[in-house]
Amino acid sequence: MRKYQKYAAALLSLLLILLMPVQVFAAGPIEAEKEAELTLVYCDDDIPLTNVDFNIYQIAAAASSGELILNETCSDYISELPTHDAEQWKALAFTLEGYVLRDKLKPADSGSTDREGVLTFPAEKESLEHGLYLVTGSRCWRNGCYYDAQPFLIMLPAIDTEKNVWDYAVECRVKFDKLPDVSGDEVNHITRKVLKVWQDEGHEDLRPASIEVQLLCDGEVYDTVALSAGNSWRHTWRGLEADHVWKIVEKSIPGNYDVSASKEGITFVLTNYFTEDIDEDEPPLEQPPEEEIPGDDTPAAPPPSEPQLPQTGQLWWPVPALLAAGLLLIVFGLIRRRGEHES
Amino acid sequence: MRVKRGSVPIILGLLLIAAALCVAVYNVWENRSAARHSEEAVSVLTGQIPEEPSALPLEDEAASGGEVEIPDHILAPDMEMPVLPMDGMDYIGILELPALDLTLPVISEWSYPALKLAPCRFSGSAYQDDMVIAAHNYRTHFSRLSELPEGSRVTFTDTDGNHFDFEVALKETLPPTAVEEMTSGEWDLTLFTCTYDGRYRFTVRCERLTGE
Repeated sequence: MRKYQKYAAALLSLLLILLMPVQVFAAGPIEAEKEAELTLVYCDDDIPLTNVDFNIYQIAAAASSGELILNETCSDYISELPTHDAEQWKALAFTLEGYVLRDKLKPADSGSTDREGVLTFPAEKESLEHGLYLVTGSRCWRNGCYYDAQPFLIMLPAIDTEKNVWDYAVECRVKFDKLPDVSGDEVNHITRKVLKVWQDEGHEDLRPASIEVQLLCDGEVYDTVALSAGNSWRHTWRGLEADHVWKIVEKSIPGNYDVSASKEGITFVLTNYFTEDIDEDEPPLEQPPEEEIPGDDTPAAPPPSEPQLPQTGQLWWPVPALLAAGLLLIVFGLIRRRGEHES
Repeated sequence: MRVKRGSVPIILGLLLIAAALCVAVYNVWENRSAARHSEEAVSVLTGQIPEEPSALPLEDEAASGGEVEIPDHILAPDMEMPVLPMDGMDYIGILELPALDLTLPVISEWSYPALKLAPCRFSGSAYQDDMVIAAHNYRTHFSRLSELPEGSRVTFTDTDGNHFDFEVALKETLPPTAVEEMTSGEWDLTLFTCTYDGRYRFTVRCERLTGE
């Protein structure tokens, strides 16, 4: 299964890279009047996964140049879109899915796969605005296994790298997690862990003392826990019912940080990245040049002291030194005293 | 009253000898205190650290129905090292130097008061193979570091019970200003302490033993 997942991950990564607007300007502007559509194919090899609900949420609007402008709602969850790293896009989709479920955001469109396992958007709506979309699917059961569609982000229209033109009819295969359905067996409880990772080297002082993580059960908040250095920034939930979908979100994202979630095995990894909060409108402060004062002989300030390794030695060297000096003084005193006696 | 000739240097000499004795007694007391504290901390930590990590090995995935617990440090090597608090200090694990018959606790962050109790992490992480541990040159801490033969085994056990085995690869002496060289991350584990005169840092570089 792991092999299959790796294969599917590679396919999705390739798809994401191909569909992202890498060569926006080479492909020319996006035609605003031309409608875009998205076709999802949801099959396990040649077995179609039918009647599965999918939602798409618009994350960013696309300008005719291909530039993406984050929606106001989504800018509460992320401050910027990643570069062309496929893993980052995958993590962003996973992160956003938790928030859209928790906050019950209204999807841009919804639909279900047909008997061929195919679904085309727009489904309920007449048209889709050009932009970046988050695609999420619900859980389905087939042949003793459950399938959880993996969320992903897709650009509409997408760039066709072979022809170097905008593709307005995008088709993609949906990746999924396939696991045996243990809900009817004796083992009907599962464990989920969350682990917080900080990517803020040099800015640890700005890190909050604790953060709150919410465990979602089928999109509803089930539990909230505080993570801190005291619990090594992690928590384990045991005895969770296996036939529910469990996800996590960071309750509120600390200022100066972006959050990214991922899941491997039973563990959710929540990573907070430090983001420089720079006001681009404000010009950088310029230091006025130091004026030389004629006749001023004041020495310049000493350079900052060089960092040093800690002093990890016990003070033993004074012991023989003090002993030797003491003995010398005593001998000297005795000689003087003896000289006095003799005189 | 007439002071006897030669009395002043004799008194001064006696005072200096007394001062030397005071320094020696203080050092011995500090040494013993550090030894006692380290011994107690190791005893408590050994009771709290699981003998084996709780996470399932990856090959058990099929048997567990896909519910695999990947060890945290493998999943996210950049995670904070977990700690066990004790007497106001956070400990990240136990360091073993069998060649010197030493088993020592390791405190998460270094400070001078912490160094008086136990070896401390100076920088890095065992999960990223760049950990640097500093300790005083107490007899029961790192004073015999220079006696560690090259190729001898060093083991670090974190508070989750994960074992990290190393081999002594190089011994060197660095100046106290060599912070960058000490923490360059070129070595999987580094141990250091002051030389006898306190002017340099005696340093042991270790390589991680893999596939065990």
